[in-house]
Amino acid sequence: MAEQREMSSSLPVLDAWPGLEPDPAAMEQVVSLMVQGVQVDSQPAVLAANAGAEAREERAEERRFRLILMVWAPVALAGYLLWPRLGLWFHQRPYLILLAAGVLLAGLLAPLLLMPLQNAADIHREGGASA
Amino acid sequence: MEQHDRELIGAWRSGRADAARELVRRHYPRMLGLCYRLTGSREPAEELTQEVFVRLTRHVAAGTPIDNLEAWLHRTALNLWRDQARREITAREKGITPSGGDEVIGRCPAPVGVEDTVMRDWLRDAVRRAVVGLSPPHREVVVLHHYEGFTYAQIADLTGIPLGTVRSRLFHALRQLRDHLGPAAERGIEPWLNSVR
Repeated sequence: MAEQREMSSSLPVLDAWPGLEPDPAAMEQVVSLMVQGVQVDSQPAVLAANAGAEAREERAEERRFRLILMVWAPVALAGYLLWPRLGLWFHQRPYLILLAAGVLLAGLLAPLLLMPLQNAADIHREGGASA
Repeated sequence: MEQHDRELIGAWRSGRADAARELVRRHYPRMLGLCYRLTGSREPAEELTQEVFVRLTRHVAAGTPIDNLEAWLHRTALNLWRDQARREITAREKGITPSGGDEVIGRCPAPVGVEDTVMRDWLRDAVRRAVVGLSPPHREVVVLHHYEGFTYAQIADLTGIPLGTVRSRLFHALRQLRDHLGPAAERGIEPWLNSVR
């Protein structure tokens, strides 16, 4: 009876949030931490955990790069394919080319320009958390 | 199974990398799932999961025995996450808003006339935000009961809170989720998708 009550006290829609596929590189990192850490004492494991944070940051960077590629590669391909048709139209309106180039450049530079702000926010947050 | 974990821990202590790899293969995915549901995003979840295994390494290196590894890992993850959540709440009270955090969620509007995939993405994001938007005590009972499949008694044992408190927290948490998720909450995904098609 108690089990039935437990089963019914759930929302089926919660299943719409799937789990996370483990990253093999992250798992290997944990294995290496465990092998190193258990052999000597706990200190190397703590040091290695800091090294792990760098590796994680690198993987996050790779994911961001892939995301940028996924967005911009279709845009570039569409531009290449449509250019013969739109070329003349754009040729008559040179300011639009400048505008499009400006948008493209802004899109490419935005992540670079926003990164220092993000870092500053992270430092501010970490400082606050440790205070 | 527990006996097997103990044997693996023994082999790992004697320096066998394959034993450590087997322990990670066996427990990492579930711990990552738990941490992901608690933190709400990938990087903090990976960080928390790694910290759990670092704690395990320290524990094993100190020679302290572990009776039930799975329960030990869950308890450690919960404790680490509670500390982290407490620090974040303190930072928020000091007026420091963590970057990339979820905003306070409101009632989700029903998207009518959108393709299935878009709706699924929307629903997944709505559920994620609704669960992550719960207070830490409510969030942990929802994650442990619904996603990890623990019974009330097991949750009480893992978290160290009374059984009655587990029941009432889950009740209030589910009521909040129903309020936030609106019509989708009661019916599940498929009937809901069919109804808005």
